[in-house]
Amino acid sequence: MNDRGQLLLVTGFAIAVAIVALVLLLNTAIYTQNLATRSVDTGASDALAYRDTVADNLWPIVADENRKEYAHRSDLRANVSARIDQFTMLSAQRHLEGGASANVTNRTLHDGTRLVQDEGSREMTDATGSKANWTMANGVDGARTFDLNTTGGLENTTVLAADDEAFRVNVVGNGGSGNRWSVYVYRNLAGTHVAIKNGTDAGPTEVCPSLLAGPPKLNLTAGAIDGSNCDAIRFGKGATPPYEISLTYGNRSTGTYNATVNGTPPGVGNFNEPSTSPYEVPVVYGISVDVVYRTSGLQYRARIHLAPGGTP
Amino acid sequence: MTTDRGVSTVVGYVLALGITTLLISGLLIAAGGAVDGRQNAVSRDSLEVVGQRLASKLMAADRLAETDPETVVVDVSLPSHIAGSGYGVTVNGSASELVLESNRADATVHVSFVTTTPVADAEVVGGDLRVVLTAAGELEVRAA
Repeated sequence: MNDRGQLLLVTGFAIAVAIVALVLLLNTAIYTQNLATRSVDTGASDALAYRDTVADNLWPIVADENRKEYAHRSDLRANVSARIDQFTMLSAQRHLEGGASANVTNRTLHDGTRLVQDEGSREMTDATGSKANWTMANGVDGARTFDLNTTGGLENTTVLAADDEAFRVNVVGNGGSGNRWSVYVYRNLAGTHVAIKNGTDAGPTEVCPSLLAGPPKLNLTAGAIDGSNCDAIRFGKGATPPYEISLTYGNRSTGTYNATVNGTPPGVGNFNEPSTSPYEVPVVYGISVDVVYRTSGLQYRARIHLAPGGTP
Repeated sequence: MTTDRGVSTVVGYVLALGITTLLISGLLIAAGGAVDGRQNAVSRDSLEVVGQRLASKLMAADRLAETDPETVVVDVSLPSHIAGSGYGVTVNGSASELVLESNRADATVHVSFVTTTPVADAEVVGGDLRVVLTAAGELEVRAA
């Protein structure tokens, strides 16, 4: 009779175990509810926001320094670097306060040069005024702007004789040994003419005659004459970078030019220092940086290339 | 009279014991079934939540990967056990689907995701995971 309670005891114990198991499951369910309502923010939005901040704001800083027309490239680079450091510090502050590390590292400044002649009455000769056929820049991978504003003094010739007589800008591919692209500006009794020789053409062909009224203003990178579209004059068609950019018969046109090229002039003598025409200004053509963003649960590093109009 | 007196007591005792055993067995079986049923349901719900969290991190990594970065690593902190049982995560990149399966409970959950970046197939044990952008340009789920 003393053993009669065993069954109830074992049963009670088993039911207790089942209840404990249910309680543990309830605990899991509560934890799941908690997990389900927890934020899943990884910091990805902040990382992308930081990247965008850098991408949108770094170039204006560089462009501002480019506008200052430094005489020496070392000064330009030092000041650009200092301002980028300052920008990096300021832009990272908000993220640092939130426990994230945000940084801009591994920067590369791509050298470029702005070539300027701003005296409209001057012939397009070199700095000494003695060379009419001369090289403006070599090792050029691209040109961001190339505005050529002829004002007069154009040679009276024909398209057939243009190669031997007309003022022209040459872009020679493969560092000076490849195909030559040229834009010619000259006049005859019928008026002013612009002709183009593409890299693979044998000679020049007149282009966009309807747009011409007097010495033209050419935008060689946008492909425009006096502000109107003329795709045919787009810079360097048929020539392969790196380019050598030169002028031929620079004494047969007066005018101004403003070109920003991804390269440097071949040496001293062709250009003056700012701001005696023609002059060269060292510029930063483009910049590449690593954007690094880290939190406890996220690592992000992206290399971004900044230059107006695309990859430097 | 004296020989029959104990019979009703024994019969009564056996009957009482039998009925009690029957009732208790029913109770235990019902309780066990309820626990099992609840365990499966809770496991499924938990795996669903865990799968959704992993999918959201995978898609966050995809947003970062779309910016052509060199490095993307997103840590995903998940429980290593759900309803007292471990679980496995199978990443099916071509079907854009995560399959989470409990080791003990009868619970398998499919969670779909949408990414622009290709996702590598993988099989990992549930717990702290990491979504990494590989050199091949794929997002891969690894153990942390």
